[in-house]
Order: sequence, then C-alpha cells, then structure tokens
Amino acid sequence: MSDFIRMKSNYLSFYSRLAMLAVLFAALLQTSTLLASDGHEEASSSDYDPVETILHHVKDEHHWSLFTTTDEQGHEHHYGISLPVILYVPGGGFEFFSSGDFLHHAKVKGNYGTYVNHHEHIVNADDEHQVIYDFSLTKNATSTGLSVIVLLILFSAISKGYKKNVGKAPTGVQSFFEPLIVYMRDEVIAPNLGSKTDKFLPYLITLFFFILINNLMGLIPGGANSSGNIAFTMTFAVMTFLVVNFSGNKQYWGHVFATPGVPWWLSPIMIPVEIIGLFTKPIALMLRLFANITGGHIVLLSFMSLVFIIGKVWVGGVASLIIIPLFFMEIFVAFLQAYIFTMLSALFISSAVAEHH
Amino acid sequence: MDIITPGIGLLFWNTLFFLIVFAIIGVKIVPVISKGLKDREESIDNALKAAEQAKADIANLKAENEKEKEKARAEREEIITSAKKKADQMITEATEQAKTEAKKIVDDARSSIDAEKREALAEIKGVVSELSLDIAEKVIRKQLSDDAAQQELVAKLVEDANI
Repeated sequence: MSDFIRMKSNYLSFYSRLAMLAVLFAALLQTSTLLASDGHEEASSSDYDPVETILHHVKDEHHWSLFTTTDEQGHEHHYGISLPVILYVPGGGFEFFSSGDFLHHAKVKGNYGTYVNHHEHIVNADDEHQVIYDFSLTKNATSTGLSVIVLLILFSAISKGYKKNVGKAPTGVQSFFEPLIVYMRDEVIAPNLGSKTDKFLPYLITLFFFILINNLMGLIPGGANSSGNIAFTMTFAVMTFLVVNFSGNKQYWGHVFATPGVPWWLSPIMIPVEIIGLFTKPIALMLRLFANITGGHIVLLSFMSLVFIIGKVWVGGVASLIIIPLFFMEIFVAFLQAYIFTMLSALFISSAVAEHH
Repeated sequence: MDIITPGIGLLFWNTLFFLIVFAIIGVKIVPVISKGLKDREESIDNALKAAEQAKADIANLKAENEKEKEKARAEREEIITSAKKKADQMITEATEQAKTEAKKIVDDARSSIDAEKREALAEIKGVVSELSLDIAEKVIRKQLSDDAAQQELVAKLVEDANI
C-alpha cells in the first residue's frame, strides 16, 4: 500500500513538475519575447516578419542560436551553441569547421575552397552551384543525438528494473514506462502482428520511443524541431518501408503482382497501382508526422508572434492563455503521433507478413 | 520548398542515431523487457491457477468432510436405534421374566396357602372333633337323659361339623 502511495506521489510529482516546467518555459518565453519586442520597437516595429521568424524556428540550422541582442550601436549579438560543420567536397574531401565561424554571413576559408552560410545552406562562396554534401551536426542532428543519450539512459534504467525485479512489481522509471510498453505491445502491436509480435517488437518499440522522445524534446523551448523535419520523418518512413518489404511473404507479393479476384487483363493497370501503393504508405507516414509536428510548432509560434505583431505588453498575457493549453495539446500530440506512426508501421508490417486474408 | 527538402546530412545522422539506438535498445534491451514482462505474466498466471487449484482442493476437502460427517451421523443414528431396540428387548424380556417369576411366586404361595389351609382345616377338624367331643361329653354328661331329640341333635351337629 505504501508503495502504491509512493508511486502515486511520484507520478503526481512528475506531472506537477512537467506542468511547472511548461508554465515556466511559457513564462520565460513570454518575458524574453516582451524584452525583445521592447528593443525591436525602438529600432523599427514594422521590420518584424512573422513568417520568416516562424520558418526560421521550424527549420534546421547550423548554429544552435538561443537569443540575439542588439546593442546601442545597432550591432546584433548572437548567443548560442557552436556546432560542428562537416562538409564533403566531391573531388576534395572532408572539411571541418565550427558553426560559430559562419555567423554574420562570414566567409570561411577551408582546404578546398571558401564557404559561406547562405540561408542555412553552406555553399562555396566563389561558386554557389558547386555540389557540396553537408554532413554537419546541425541543431536537429544534435537534438536527435541528445535524444539518443536520453533514450539510452532511460532504457538502461528500465532494463535494470527488469533484471532487478524479476517476477515482481515494477519500480521507479520502470513502472512509469511499463504501461506505455505494455500498451504498445498489447493494444497496438500484438493485435496487428499476432504470433509475429516478438519478431517486430524491438523495431516498433524503438521506433515509438525514438519518435516520442524527439517529439517531446522538440517542445522544449530553445530545442530543435527535430521530429518535425522531413529528413527525420523520411528516415523512419524508409525504415518502415524496408522492414515491410524485406519481411513481405509470398502472399504479400502475390497481392502486389497478381491481386486475387482481379482479371489478368487488368494487370497492366493493377500492377503499377499496387507498386505506387507500396510507396504511398511510407510517404503518408512521412508527411503525417512531419505535418503534425511542424504544424504544432507553427501554431504555437504564431500565437507567440502576436506579441511582436501587435507590439503591446498585454498581448503576451492574452497569448499565454492560448499558448499554455496549446502547449499541453502539443504534448498530447507528441504521444499521439508517435503512437500513430508505430501503429501504422505495425499495420503495414502485418499486411506484409499476414498468413491469410 | 526548403522545408520539405530532406537534407542528406540529417538523413545520415538520423539513420546513424536510430541504428545505434536500435542496436542497443531494440536488440539488447527490448528482449529483456519482453522476457521480463512475459515471465511476470506467466508467474501471475501460475499463481492464479495455483490459487484456483487450492480453492478447488479446499472445496473437495470440504465435500469429503461433509460426506464423512454424514456417514458418522448415519452411524450414530444406527447405533442409537439398535441400542434402543436392544433396550426395548431387554425390558420386554425382563418384564416377561418378572411376570413368570411373579406367577411362580404367586403359584407357590397359593399352593403353600392351600397346604397350610388344608393343614389348618385338618387341625380345625381335629379341634372341632375334640371340641364337639367335649361338647358332646358335656352335653352327654349334663343332659344325658332320655331325650331322644337331643341325641338326634348331637348326631346332626357332628354330621354338620364334617367339612
């Protein structure tokens, strides 16, 4: 009983901490926006472009910028975290820089040329059309890398729990995540995959938590919109596509190339349609996650931009009333989209490995 | 269009990061969790089954006890009945015996009374004959006259005394 109470209080404190964090961040954001708006108003209130600001926040960048100040002389000071810039120049080799070097549109000289950050595209300053492969550890990549550390810490704690409490009730972190894992296994994965659950459980559980943690980390103010980036969602859509098609059985391919119940002379139409169908599923997965997460960020940022657009202090208060509930909704969406991505992946896999119709 | 153009760098890093996570969490940790969950579910299942079995065992035991009790009760009933029967029989027998005994005693008494009566009568007869002889003697002595009628009376009295 006392264990139960302690567990409950743990949950409560977790939720209250989360709520406090959200409120705190909302308040922080607000104050920072208010301060910024004061500065902006003096310079020029009309040069604020919400679309550009929002897109800048939603998109990836090479430098993890936290905030920018403007001094009396009108000089901008950028504060942020410098990240490694890694370029591969075909015909040359790898180039390594710090993202701090590229601030203020500075031209950076490397071994194989001079580079400049042109709207978050590193291009050759002398020849903008030269092909350069950018493998930089950008803000999004760094955020995802941090999520890897978070995931590894979490899961090592969880697995320790399972090794410690063999046949006993879960404790600590384990008891917080077990309902999620059991829910995913019993309500999402097992109903779709049946006897093949164990085979695909590792992939799907990893997928779920990877997306979930990235969704949640994207909501931390100052964080990156990592899971709302098309490259992120594309990675997982491609993973699911590969898993589905490499585990596809005879019936699955039979369904693609000779759909049962369709006359043979329709196959010139049916086969291309089915092949397109193979690709539309992961594309839908990719766009759904991308649009939902990015959309959420855009909505939140739009309400925050109201403060700058209207330029009055009280707007911050009003906007907060909208932003705070929306923020909680975004936390819910973070879970929901991770759930949907995993569920649809399980569904697509099940259609590929199903034994009979 | 920038926003929906996947960058090769991010694709590379995300794939790498996911593969790292999958290699550690997917390959190593998820099976541990899965096994832990399954083991626990199994142990709970077994415990429930054992409890069910214990319940059934107890029910069986109870039923057996009840049966045993019923048997004991029937036996008791039988013992009581037979004891009662025996007692009744014994009482009847005793009564019968007592009756016979009493009859015998009464009969003995009667025969002894009869004998005694006879004896007494004989004695009385002797006494009476003696008495009558005395009377007769006296009568004779006193009035031994010629009265024929008296002589006749004596004779009659003696006759009548013959019981």
